[in-house]
Amino acid sequence: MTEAIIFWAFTAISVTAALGVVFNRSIIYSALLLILVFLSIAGIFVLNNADFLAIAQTIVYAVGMTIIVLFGIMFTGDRAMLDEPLTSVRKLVSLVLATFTFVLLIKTVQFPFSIQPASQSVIQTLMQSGSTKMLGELLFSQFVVPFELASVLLLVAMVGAIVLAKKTFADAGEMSSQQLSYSIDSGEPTKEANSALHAAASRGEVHLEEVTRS
Amino acid sequence: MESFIPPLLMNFMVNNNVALINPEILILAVLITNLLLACSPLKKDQEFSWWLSLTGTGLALVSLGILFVNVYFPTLMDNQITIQQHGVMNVLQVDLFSWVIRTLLTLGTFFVLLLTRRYVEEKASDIPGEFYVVLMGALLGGMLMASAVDLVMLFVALETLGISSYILVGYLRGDLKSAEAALKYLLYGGASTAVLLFGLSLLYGVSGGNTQYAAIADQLQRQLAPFGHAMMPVVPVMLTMIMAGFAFKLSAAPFHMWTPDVYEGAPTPVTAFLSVVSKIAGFGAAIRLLYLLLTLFGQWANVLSVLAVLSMTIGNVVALKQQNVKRLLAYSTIAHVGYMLTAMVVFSLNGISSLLYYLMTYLFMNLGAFAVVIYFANLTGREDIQAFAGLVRKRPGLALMFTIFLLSLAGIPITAGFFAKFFLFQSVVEGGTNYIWLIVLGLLNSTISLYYYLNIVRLMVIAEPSDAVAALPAEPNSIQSISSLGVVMTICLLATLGLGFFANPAYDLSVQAMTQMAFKNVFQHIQVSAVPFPGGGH
Amino acid sequence: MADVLSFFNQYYLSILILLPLLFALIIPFLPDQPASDSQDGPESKQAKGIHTFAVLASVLIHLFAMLSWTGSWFGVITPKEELYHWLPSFGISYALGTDGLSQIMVILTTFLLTMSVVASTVYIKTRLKLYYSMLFILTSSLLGVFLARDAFLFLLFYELELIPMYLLIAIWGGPRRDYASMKFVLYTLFGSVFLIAGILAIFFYLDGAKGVETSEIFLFKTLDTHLVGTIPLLAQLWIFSALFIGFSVKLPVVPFHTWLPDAHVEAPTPVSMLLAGILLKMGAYGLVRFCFGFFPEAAVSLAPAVAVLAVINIVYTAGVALVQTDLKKLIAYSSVSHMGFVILGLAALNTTGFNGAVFVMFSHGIVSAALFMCVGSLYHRTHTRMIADYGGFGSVSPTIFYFFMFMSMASLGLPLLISFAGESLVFYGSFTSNAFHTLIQLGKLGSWQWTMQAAAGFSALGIVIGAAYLLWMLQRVFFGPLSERWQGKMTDANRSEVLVLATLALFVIAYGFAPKFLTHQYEDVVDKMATQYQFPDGKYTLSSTKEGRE
Repeated sequence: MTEAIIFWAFTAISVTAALGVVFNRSIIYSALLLILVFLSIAGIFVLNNADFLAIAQTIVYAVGMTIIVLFGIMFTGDRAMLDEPLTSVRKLVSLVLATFTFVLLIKTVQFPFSIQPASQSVIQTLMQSGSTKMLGELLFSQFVVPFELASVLLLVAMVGAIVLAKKTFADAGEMSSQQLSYSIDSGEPTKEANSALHAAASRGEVHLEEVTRS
Repeated sequence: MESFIPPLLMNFMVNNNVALINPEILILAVLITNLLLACSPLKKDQEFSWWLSLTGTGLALVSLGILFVNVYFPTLMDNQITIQQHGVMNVLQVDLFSWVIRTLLTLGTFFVLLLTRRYVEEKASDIPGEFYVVLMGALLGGMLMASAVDLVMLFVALETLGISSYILVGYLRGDLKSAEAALKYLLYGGASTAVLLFGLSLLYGVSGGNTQYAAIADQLQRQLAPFGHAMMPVVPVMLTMIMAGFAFKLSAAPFHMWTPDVYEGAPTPVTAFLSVVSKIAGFGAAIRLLYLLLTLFGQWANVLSVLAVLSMTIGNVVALKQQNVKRLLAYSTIAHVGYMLTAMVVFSLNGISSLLYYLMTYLFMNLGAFAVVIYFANLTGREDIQAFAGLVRKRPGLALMFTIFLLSLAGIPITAGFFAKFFLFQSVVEGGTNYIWLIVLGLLNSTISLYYYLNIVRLMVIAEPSDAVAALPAEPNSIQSISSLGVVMTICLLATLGLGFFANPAYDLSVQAMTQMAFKNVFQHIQVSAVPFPGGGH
Repeated sequence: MADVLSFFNQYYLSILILLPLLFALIIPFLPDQPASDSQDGPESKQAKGIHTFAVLASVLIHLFAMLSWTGSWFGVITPKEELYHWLPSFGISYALGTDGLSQIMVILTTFLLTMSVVASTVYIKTRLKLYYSMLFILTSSLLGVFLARDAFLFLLFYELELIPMYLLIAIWGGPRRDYASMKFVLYTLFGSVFLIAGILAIFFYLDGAKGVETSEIFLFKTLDTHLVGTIPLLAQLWIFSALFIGFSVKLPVVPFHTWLPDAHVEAPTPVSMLLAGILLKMGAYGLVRFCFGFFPEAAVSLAPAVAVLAVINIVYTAGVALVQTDLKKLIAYSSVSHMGFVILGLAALNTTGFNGAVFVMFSHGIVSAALFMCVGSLYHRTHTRMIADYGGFGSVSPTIFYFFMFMSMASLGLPLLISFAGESLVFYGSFTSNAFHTLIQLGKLGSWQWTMQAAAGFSALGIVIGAAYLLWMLQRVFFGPLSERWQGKMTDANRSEVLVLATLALFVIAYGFAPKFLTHQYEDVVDKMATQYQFPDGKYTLSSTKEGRE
C-alpha cells in the first residue's frame, strides 16, 4: 500500500515537473524543474531496488547534466526563446504523435514478461551490499571489454569536445593585445598571429603597413 | 617475452582469445600515443602523429594478416567451428566474418589516412594531432561493432563510432557548413541512437534478461512461444525501433535525411571515411543482429524490402539534380545501400555472401571516387560538378580514373561494380518469384543511375574546360609524382578492375565467413521460419 | 611449328578478342597530335602517323580473324573451344567457341572495322588517339559477343560496347550529339535490363535442376539441351519475351527503334558504318542464338506476334523513310526496314528462313555500311544533310554517284547483288513455312488466316516502298541541275573513299553472284537449329533431340 502511494506520488511529481519543463516560459525555470524530474525518477528506481541506479541517476543526471544545461543556457543567453502561440498546427501534430507513441508504449509494456524470481544468492547480495557490488562484478568480469571501450569513448569524446570548442586564432578580436604584441615583438610573427592580424585588418580594426627591412 | 607476462594474465589472455583482438589493441595503442603526442608543443610532433597513425594502421593490417594465416585459414580447412573457439569474454565473436569486416575497415582507414594529410595540415593546422586520435577511436568502435555478439558491446561500440564521427564531421571549425553538418549529424544521430537503445532494451526484456545473442536466441523462442510471438505488440515496436536505428547508421531511406548535408559539409576525407568505414561497420553489426532476429521473425524481412526500394529510388532520383559532387556521392551511397538491402531481404547464405562481396567492391570504388574528388579539390579548390568540365585535356589520367570509378558505381562491365550487382541480384533470384519485382526495380534504378554518373564522365571528356580546369598548369608528360593520393587511386583502380575477374576467391571467402557466423549448434532447436541458411537447410 | 600452331589453336579465340584491346592500349603512347589540328585544316605528321597505325592494326586484326576462316585457303587454324570455370558458384564460365555463324559475324566485324578505319582517315581529324582507342575497344567487345559461349560472358561483352559507343557519338558527332548519345546509352541499357532479368530467370530455374551442374548453368551447351525440359512453358514464354524485348532494342524492332535515327544521324560517318553494319547484328545474333535457338516451344507460340512485328518493321519504317527530308535519316530508317527481314526469316521457323535471316544480317551489314559511307562523303563536302539542299551532283561527283547508285540498287534488292540473295531466301522460307495458322475473326467480313505467307506478302510491299524512296532520293540528289551554292565547291571521291566503297562493292557483287560461298559457312549451324522446329502434318512437335529430356 505504502509502495503504491509513494510510486504514484513520484509519478505525479515527475509528470507535472516534465510538463513544467516543456511549457514554462523561462528557460532557467525549465532547467531547474528538470532536476525535479530526474530526482523523482531516481525515487522510482529506489522503489525497484535499484539503489545504485538511483544514486547514479542523481549524480549524473540531476547534478551533472543539469549543470551542463545551465552552463549552456548561461553562455548562449536568453535570446533563443521563441514566442510561439499556444495553438499552432505544429503543436497539435506533436500532441497527436506523442499520444500515439504513449499508447503504443503502454501497449508494449503490457506484454506479460515472464519475470523469473531472482535466485536466493542474488537476494542475499542485494540485501547485504546492494546492487553496486553485483554491477561492479559484472562490469569487471562479463562486460569488461565494453567497459574499457566506454572509457576510450569518453576520452575521445572529451578530446573532441575540447577541440571543437577551442578558440581558433582567427577569432582575433578575442586574442588579447598582450598576446598579439608578444608575438610581434619577438621577431617574426607566428602564422596564427599573422592570420589574426589580417582578419582584424579586414574588419577595419587595425591598419597594416608594408615595412621592408633593410 | 612470455616470461614477462604474469601467468594469471597469460592464462586469462589465452583462455579468452585476447590474441584475436590484437589489431584493436594496436589501434588503441596508436590512439593513446597520438594523444600524448598531441600534447606536445612542437610542430614536428604534430606531423609525426600522421606517420604514427599510418604506421599503426599498417601494423594492424599486418596483424590481421597474421591472424588470418594462423587462425582462420586452418579453420577454413576444418569446418567444425564452435563458438568458444573464437569468442572473447562472450561479448565478442571474432570469427572469419568479423575478420573480413575488420580488414575492410582497417584498409579503409589506411586509405583515408593517406587522403588526409594535406587536408588536415592546411585546413585545421592548429589541431592536427587530435584528428588522428578521434579517427582511431572511430576505427576502434567500428572494429568492435563487427565482432559484437552482446547488446551492451554493440551499443558501446556503435556509440564510439558515432560520437567520433560527429567530432570528425565538425572538425573544420571555421567552416559554417562543417559546423552545420556536425550539428545535424549529432542531433539526428542522438535521436536515432536513443530509438535503437529503446528497441534493444525491449529485446533485452523480451528475451528474459539476456544480453548475449546466443542466450537471446535460446531464450526468445521459449519466452514468446506461449504467446504466439509475432502477435504481441512488443515485437513490431521492438523490431521497428531496432531497424530504424540501424537504418539511420546505414543511411537507408527514409532515415537518410542527414546524409547529403553531412557529406557535403564534412571535410572530404571524413566524408570518405563515413561513406565507407561507417557503412561497412554498420552492415557488419546489422547482419549479426538481424541474423538473430530474422531467423525468428522471418516475415519482417519484407520491411527491409520497403527500406531497400525507398533507398534505391530516392537515392537515384534525387541524385539526378545534384550540383555538388560530394552531395551526388552521398545520394549515390544511399542508392547503393538500397541495393545492398535487397540482399538482406532474402537472408540466405548466397545473399549475405554477395552482400559482403558488394561491400568489398564498394570500399574500393567509393574510396577511389573520393580520392579523385580530394585530389581535384586540392588542385582547384572546387567541389561542384561543373568544375570538372574538360578535365581530360589537362589531367587525362585523373579523368580516366574517375571515369572508371564512376562507371563501376553505375555497374558497367568490366568493372567490379557490375559483378557485384549481378551477384546480388542473382542471390535475390534464389528467393523465388516473390522477389522478381525487387530485382526489376533494382535494375531499373541502375539504369537511372547511369545518367548522373555518365553526366560527369561526359563533362570531363567532352565539354569545354571549365575556368577551374583551364587555370591548371599543363601536366608534364612524365609519370606523375607519387603522392599518397596517387597511391590510393591506383590501388583502388586496380581493385575495381581486378575484383571482377578475381571474384571467385573473394566470394568464396565471403561464403566461408557467413558459414562460420551462423551458430549452428545454438539455433538447432529453433524453427527457422523463412530463411534458408546452412543450419536451416537450403 | 606444330607447337606454335597448337598453341594458337588452343588460345586463338582469346587472342582474337584481346588483340584489338592490345592496340587500344598501345595507341595512347603514340606521339600526340598538335593542339592546332582541326577538322578542316591540313593534316599534321603526327595525325598521319596515328591514322597509319590504326589502318595497319585493323588490317592485322582482320587477317588474324581470317586465319580461322575454314574452308578458305587462309584457314590454317581450327580454333578449339575454351572453357574455364571462372565463378562456379554462380554458374559463370569463361567459355569461347566458334561455329559458322559466329565466324561470319567475326569476319564481318573485322572487315567493317578495317573499312571504318580507312573511312576515319578521311573524316576524323581531331582527338585521334582517343577515337581509335574507343574504336578498338568497341571491336573487342563485338568480337566477344560473337564468340562467347556463356550467357553471362555474352551479356558482359554486350554491355561493354556502351561506353565506347557513347564517347564516339558524343565527341565526334553532329550538332545534337549530346542528346543522341545519352538517348542511345540509356535506351540500350534499358534493353539490357530485360536481358539481365531473362538470364537471372534462367538461372533461377536451372539452379538445382537435375542433370545440371551449378558451375555450368550459363554455358550455351547447357542451355541448349536443358532449357526445354526444365523450365515450364509459361516461364519460357516470359523469358522469351524478356529476351526478345532486350534484343529488339538493339535490332531494332518497332517500337523500340526511336534511338536509332538520332544515334545514326548524329554519329560521325565511320561510326555510323559500324553502328549500322555490326552493332545492330548483335541484337539479331542474340535473337538467333537465345530466343530461337534455346526456346523452340516459346518461339513457336510467339511466332505470329514476331511476324507481325517483322511486317511492321519492314513496311512502317519504309513508309517513314519515304517522307524524310534528311538524307542520313532516310538511310537510317531504310536500315531499320531491312533488319525487319531478319525477323521475318526467323519467324518462318524453317531452314531456309533461318538461312535467309543470317544472310540478310551479313548483307545488310555490308550494304548499310556502304550507304552510310556514301552519305558521309556527301555530308563531308557539303556540311548539310538535307535532301532539299542537294541536286545535280551526278555531274560533278561521278564516282560518288556511281557508288551511291550501285549501293542503292543493292539495297533495294536488285538480282545478282547480295541483298537479293538474302531477301529471296527469306521470302522463300516464309512462303514455304508451316510456322503458324492464326485465325483472325473479322466479324461480318468472315475470317482470315494470318500465316507466314500473308506476312511475306505484306513485306513485299516494303520492298516496293524501298525501291520508291531510294530511287526518288537518287533522282533528287544526283539528277537535275546543280544549284549555284555548290558550283565549284563539290569535289569527287578521294582515294580512301573509293577504296572503301570499291571493296564493299566487290563483296556485294561476289556474294551476289555466288551466295553459296557464304551460306556454305554457316549452313550447318542453321540446319541444326531448324531441326528443333518440326512441322509434320502442319503441327509443331517437339523434335526427337529434345524429347528425351521431358
